[in-house]
Amino acid sequence: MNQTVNCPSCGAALPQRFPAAKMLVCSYCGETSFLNADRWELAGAGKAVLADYGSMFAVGRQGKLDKKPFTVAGRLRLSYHGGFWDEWLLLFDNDEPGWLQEDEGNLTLFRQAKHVASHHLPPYEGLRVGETIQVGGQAFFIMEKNEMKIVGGEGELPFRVVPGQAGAYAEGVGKGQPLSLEYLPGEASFNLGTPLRWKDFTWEQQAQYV
Amino acid sequence: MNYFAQATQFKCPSCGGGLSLVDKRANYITCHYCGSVLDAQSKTHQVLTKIGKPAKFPPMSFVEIGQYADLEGVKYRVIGRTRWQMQYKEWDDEANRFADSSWIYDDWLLISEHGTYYYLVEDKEGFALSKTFWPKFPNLNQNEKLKDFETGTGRKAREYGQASVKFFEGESTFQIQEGDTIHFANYRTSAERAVVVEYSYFKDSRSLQEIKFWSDQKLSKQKVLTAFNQAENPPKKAFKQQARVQANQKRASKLAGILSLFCLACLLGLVVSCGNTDVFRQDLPVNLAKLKAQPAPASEVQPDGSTNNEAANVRLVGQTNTFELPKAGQVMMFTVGYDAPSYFDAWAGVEIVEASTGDVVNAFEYDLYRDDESYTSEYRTFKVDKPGTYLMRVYTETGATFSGSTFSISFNTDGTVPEVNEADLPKIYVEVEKAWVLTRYFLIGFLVSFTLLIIVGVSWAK
Repeated sequence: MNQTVNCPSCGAALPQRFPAAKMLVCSYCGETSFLNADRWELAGAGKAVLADYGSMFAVGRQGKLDKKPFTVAGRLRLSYHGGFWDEWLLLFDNDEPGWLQEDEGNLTLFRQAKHVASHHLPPYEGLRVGETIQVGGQAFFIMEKNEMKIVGGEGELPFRVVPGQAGAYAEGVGKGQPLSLEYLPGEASFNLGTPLRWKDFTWEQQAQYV
Repeated sequence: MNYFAQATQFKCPSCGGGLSLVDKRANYITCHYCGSVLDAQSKTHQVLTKIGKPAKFPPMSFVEIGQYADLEGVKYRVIGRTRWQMQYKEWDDEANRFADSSWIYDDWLLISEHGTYYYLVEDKEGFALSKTFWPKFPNLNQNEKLKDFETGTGRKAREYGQASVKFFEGESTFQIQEGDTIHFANYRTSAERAVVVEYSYFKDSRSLQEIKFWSDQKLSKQKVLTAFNQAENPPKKAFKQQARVQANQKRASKLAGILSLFCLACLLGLVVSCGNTDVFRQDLPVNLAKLKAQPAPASEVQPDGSTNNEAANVRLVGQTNTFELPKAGQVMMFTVGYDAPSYFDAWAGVEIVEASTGDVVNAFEYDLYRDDESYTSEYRTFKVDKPGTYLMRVYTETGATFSGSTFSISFNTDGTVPEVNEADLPKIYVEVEKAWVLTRYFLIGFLVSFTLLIIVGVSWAK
């Protein structure tokens, strides 16, 4: 069941769909709040606005993936030297949350491999494109590695988003499955991906491209 | 509302050409009129750099920026094109070795109504749909050697080498520059599908920057045509016109081929028909004494009872040797002329006689003359009914004059035969040849088809 959070800026009652959320953007006043200990505090950075470039996804939209109902809880935008991509946080009713990567129209649903601890992941600097490494006992053929920056976020997110924060990533493949390594300050994750097509999604309402 | 319904319209700040920015994620847009690379995200769309002149790199067929297409049930819009030039090695089955090759292709970028991309590869042989895939056994080639992406077993590449950007137009999220290079290797999984590993290096470095795996599925030209034709293309008029021109060119090409063949056949027939084959030739001297010695033919009695003395002056000049007419149905040409040293105006007659029976099977008359300007001989044709041995009886008419000389085919008024030098005696020559009676038709056919060929050629060139 959704909890309700009162926006520290305007007082509006906001539904909190994602229990692990540590960031919340008010859908009424646009102000960003962070969870500090057990209190929501105003970030004070002004209204968070991510430019919309057209997508079938939007925060709050509900749909089904392989008949599994989900809600789009939040969005994270990341940039690299060649452009940017969005990652949408999908909360499934009966499944683990997933990050839907939308990169130049390609859709991949990533879920963190929780059996691999962050400190067991290979350091970013040692990665070489074209090499195959072992991550959590799985072969990882590295296809791309880049430094990245957080452009911004919206909705409910499980960590505190600081626009301009630097990170890095590596993408690859293992046994025909997309894989990724993400490096943010103090945290790294190994993610297992599933390639998806737009046809795999059905929506409660007709998709609106905004 | 679909993704590309909100395209932004603006004018190129360099040339003023109307541009449409469809993909709101695009960071760059290259003007397809002047080749200026513009900042797609700024309001002023300032010029960042220039790439090759678009006129130097026209599309290969009907696909162009801005067109719509219905592919696999989804509506797409063409938003970009990269022209690549490949330098590579290709396996030659016949020579059993790799050979150096070069190739040009266009990589069309289409965006769907859902914001997803579609890569349509076009070269002079047709189209292919290019999609990324995730191999079970990812690997890079070592020259021609690589591992099968599905099974991991050793494989020989079909092609490997590199490709460089020659030109780009339209929209892109990253900057595409002339000279950008990728390396690749591929092999076929079927006649219709090839899989490719593609990789690039950081500039001035041997460190790999990015690797991608592509699956290229051939698409028939008809399927692509249908996909573009069914869509509501704003430049449909131009597309239709181009399709019409292509269809007309195809028809003109076919017609030109048929006309060329017909023209050549007529020319051949003309040459052959002009080259008649000699069967027989003989000269018969006109000997006045012999002519005088012959009795005048009796007057012909006409059906109304009157008499006709026209034949009274006809005399037999001589009888030719025999000759063979071996083929029934063969048309023969019988040519007669006087070989005389001076002007003349004379008549000659020929009877064609079957040698074994003496039956006259045909007879011809000839009116012949020679003056200052011309010298005549005449021919008559005759189709052989019955193969066999034949001869000709040749007649002349007394009273004919050979003016300017001492000779006349006439006798003195006292009935004696004038004395004539033997050198001044005229001769009648007769020639028998196989005839090709279709000469005129071949000529007409050749002229008509040649004229049509020129008309078709001129229309085609336009």
